[in-house]
Amino acid sequence: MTNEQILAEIREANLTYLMLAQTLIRQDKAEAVFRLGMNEESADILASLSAAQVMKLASRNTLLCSFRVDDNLVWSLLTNHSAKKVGNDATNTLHANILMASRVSEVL
Amino acid sequence: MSSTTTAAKAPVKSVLNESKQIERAAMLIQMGARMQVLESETTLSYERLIRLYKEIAGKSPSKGQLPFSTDWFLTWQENIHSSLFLNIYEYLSKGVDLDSVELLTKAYRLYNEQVATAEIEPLLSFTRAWRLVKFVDAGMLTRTKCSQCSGQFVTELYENRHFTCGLCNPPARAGKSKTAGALMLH
Repeated sequence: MTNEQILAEIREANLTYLMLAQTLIRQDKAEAVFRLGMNEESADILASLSAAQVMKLASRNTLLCSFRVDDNLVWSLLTNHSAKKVGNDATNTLHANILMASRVSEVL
Repeated sequence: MSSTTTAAKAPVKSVLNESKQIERAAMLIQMGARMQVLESETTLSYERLIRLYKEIAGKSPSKGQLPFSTDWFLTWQENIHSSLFLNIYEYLSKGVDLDSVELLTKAYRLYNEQVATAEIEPLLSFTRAWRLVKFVDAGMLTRTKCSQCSGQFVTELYENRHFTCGLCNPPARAGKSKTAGALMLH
C-alpha cells in the first residue's frame, strides 16, 4: 500500500466514523453516548457539524476514533483467549460488557 | 421527573401533560412493566392505568405484590444480569441528562441488546430492573469493585475489599442450569 493509499483509507475511515456517529447521535443521543463512549458535550458538537466541517475533520493523516479495549482482561475476554479456563463465549461476552460499562470515566 | 413534579403541583389539569403521561405509561406497559411501576412513574389514576393496561397488553395486569427481597439480585446468574444492567444505567446517568423513566427504559433496551448478542435469555425483567434501581436508591444494594477484574458488581452494602465477582470466581454450583438460554460454564 502506498502512502497515498494509506492516507485515503484513513480519510475514509474517519468519514465513515463521523457519519455513523452523527446518525447515532441524531437518532438517540443517550444510546449514542453509550455506544460511542463519548461525553454529551462532544456528542452535541459532533451532531451540529455541517457536511463541509465533517469533510474537513476527516481529512487528516491520523484516525479520529480511538481504541476502547485497552486492558488485557477485556481484550482476552473478547477474543476468547482467556488464560483462566472458567467461562465460555457467553460468560466472557457478558464479563467484557460488564467491565466496559463500568468505565464511567469515558463520559465524564 | 420534571413533568411528574409539575403535575403534582399544578392545580389545573393539563391535557398536554396527561397525554404525555399516557404515552409514557403505554411505553412502560409495552416493555412489560407491572402496575406498581406504572403507579410510581406516572401520575395517572389506578383506574385509568388498568384500562390502558388492558387495551395495550390485551389482558388484566398481574395481581399481587412485587418480590421484596434483595436476594434475587445476588444469586450467581441473576447477579451477572443485574450488574450488567446497573452498569449501563449508571453509565447513562453519569453521561447524559435524562429523566428517571427515560434512563430506565434506555438502559433496559441496551441491556436487552447486549444479552441478545451473547445469545442468552434476558433474565432481568423490566419490573425487576426498576426494582433494582429502587433498591440502590434506597441504599439496600450497591455496586462493589471486584478485586480481580475491577468490574463493578451488584452487592450488599459493606462488602469487604477482597470481594471477587461471580465471573472471576464462580461458586461451585454455578452454571449447571439446563434451562434453555441460561448462562452455563464450560
